[in-house]
Amino acid sequence: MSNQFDYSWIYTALFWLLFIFLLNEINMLRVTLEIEKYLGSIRTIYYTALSKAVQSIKDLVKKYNINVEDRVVEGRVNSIVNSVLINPTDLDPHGIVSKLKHIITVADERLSREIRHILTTVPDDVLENVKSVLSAVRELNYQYKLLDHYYRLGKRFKAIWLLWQLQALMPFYYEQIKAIESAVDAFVNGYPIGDSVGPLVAYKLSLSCEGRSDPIEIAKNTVLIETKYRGRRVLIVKAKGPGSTTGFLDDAMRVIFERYSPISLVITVDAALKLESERSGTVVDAVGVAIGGIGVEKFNIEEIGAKYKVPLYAVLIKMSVSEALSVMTKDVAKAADEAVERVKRIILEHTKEGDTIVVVGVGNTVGVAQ
Amino acid sequence: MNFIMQFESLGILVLFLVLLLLLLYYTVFSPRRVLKRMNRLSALRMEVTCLKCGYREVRGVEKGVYVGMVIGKCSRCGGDLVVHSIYAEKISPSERRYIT
Repeated sequence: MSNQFDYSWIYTALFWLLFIFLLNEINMLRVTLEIEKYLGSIRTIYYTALSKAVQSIKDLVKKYNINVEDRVVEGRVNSIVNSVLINPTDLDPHGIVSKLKHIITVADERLSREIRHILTTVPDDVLENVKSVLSAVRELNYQYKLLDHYYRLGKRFKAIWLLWQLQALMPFYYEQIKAIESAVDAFVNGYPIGDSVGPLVAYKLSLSCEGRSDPIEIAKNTVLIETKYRGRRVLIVKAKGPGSTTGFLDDAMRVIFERYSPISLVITVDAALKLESERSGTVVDAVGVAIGGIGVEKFNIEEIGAKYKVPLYAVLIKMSVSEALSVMTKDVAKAADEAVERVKRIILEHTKEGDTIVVVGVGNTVGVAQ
Repeated sequence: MNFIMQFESLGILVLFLVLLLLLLYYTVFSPRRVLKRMNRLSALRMEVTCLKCGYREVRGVEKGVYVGMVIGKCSRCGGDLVVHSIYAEKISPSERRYIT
């Protein structure tokens, strides 16, 4: 019998103890490295977008011979990009929609005034494009800072669960951020984005109907075109292009219902998010009001529809988030023609001669005139 | 055979191969790279149409154009040539089967 002590079990135990603790550290390192890579890319995207925005304003200053120094432009852009919108309190939700609309309207007017302070003589449509560029850069700034905040928190407290959640969500945030980056390019150049498909359908529909009237500005940045189609009066509403604006469609609808009642049918045409299995540019019928965003306009149009007991139909054009914010893709542009035919079919099948129909082209009308 | 003989055992070779595969997986198939591939765009195009005779033509996009802009006269009938649509031809990451 040997009296030599067997140390092998101690080495095994030590190995497993170290392995358990090191595994956690290795995991932490792997996760933080991946998040850092994403954050690095997002930081680059943000700074590139910021410099593009500043440069586009400086170009406009030169083009329109405006006497503003570069540092004033940079300071103003910096202040706009870091500004925030404070939502109204929802402790008592009653009447929150009107409060939200008021805040959005004030924010929009203030942004216009801030930019007008530098770009004193640029046309309104160019001003709207600059507003959209700065809004996109502001969104990029906010998203970058938010993601970076959670990353720093997770790293400081070694909160692996927080970092895992961030790592899991990063591809989705990154896709959105890439889409906003593409939107900046589209707004700087004034090209239509995927979300412009609603106004594009409205424009194409107005061309394909008879007796097209001149567009009238029925609400702020929102136009109405009156046309005829197979004995029906078709009122086409869209944001005022080709500048980047979504208009005030609910205000326009309120005026239309006061002036043109009785209305037999309201059709909203908008871009809708597709599921992964769906093809981009698929045209889908819907019932209800198709308007995205924070829901103020949707709420108000639904209220009008319910008050006047008017059927609310919708035509949706499916696309991904990145397609909605990037320059319009070929699939989506082709779908606009199909959507025009779909709107016409709905009008023929659900109304009779002599009826008045309202067609609303919902979305950002950048690069689409009327 | 000589190459394998350089390693102390087959186990080390397997370990290296596994590490190499892991490295390849994290560099090539990371979600970030997949997203990068998804965001590739090709050229911008615009479709112009004549409001009078319906003639259509696809061209490269010029700076400052927008849908509805009159950009000249039709070579066939002299009617107004209007920008009908502006779009980017996107390269899809793969020709997947879609449910429509």
